[in-house]
Amino acid sequence: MSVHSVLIRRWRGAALLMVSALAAFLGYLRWPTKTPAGQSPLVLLSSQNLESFRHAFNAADDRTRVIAFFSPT
Amino acid sequence: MQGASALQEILSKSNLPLSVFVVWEPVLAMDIRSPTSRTLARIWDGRAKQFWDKDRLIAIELNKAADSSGSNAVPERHVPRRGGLVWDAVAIFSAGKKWAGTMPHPDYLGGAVAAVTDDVRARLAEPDLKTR
Repeated sequence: MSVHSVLIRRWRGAALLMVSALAAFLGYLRWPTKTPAGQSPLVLLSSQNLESFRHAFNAADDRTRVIAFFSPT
Repeated sequence: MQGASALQEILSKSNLPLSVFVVWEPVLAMDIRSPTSRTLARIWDGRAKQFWDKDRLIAIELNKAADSSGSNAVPERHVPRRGGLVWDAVAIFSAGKKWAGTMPHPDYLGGAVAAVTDDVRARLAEPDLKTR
């Protein structure tokens, strides 16, 4: 086996590894999430639907409300 | 994440009619996506609604409310706040408070959550808070 063909095989291996890592990373980013049973689905907040949060907050004004802030990591 | 587990423990031991809004937001550089199912499972209480707030909009609103001075100043305890960010914190609002133009002043704002569980339990148990 020539040096050239060994280099090509190594480059192919490295490229395959990088593509796999990229695919795994994209999969991680897009992997769907589920809230625990009995809860409504996770809401992705933005300035477009911030009003829905305010609405939910006000709709529950007959009871004590708790807002908790956490980082996912 | 300790904070989320601490909050769940508080909820597990309380049967009060609460509404709980759990706001996940990016704090560290690795917070590049919404929380995984495993992370969301840390708060399994049925009274909770969970949100991914990538632009930290709710924290901004809470900062505005908490920073307002005057007779409604918030009793705040060790809340990690940096550059408009609020995290590992709990805000409590009594019944009857409405969010009109701006978020109302919380009756309590405390953190880190694992460190203030006794405070939070006590505040939630206050009779005037439940019926106000």
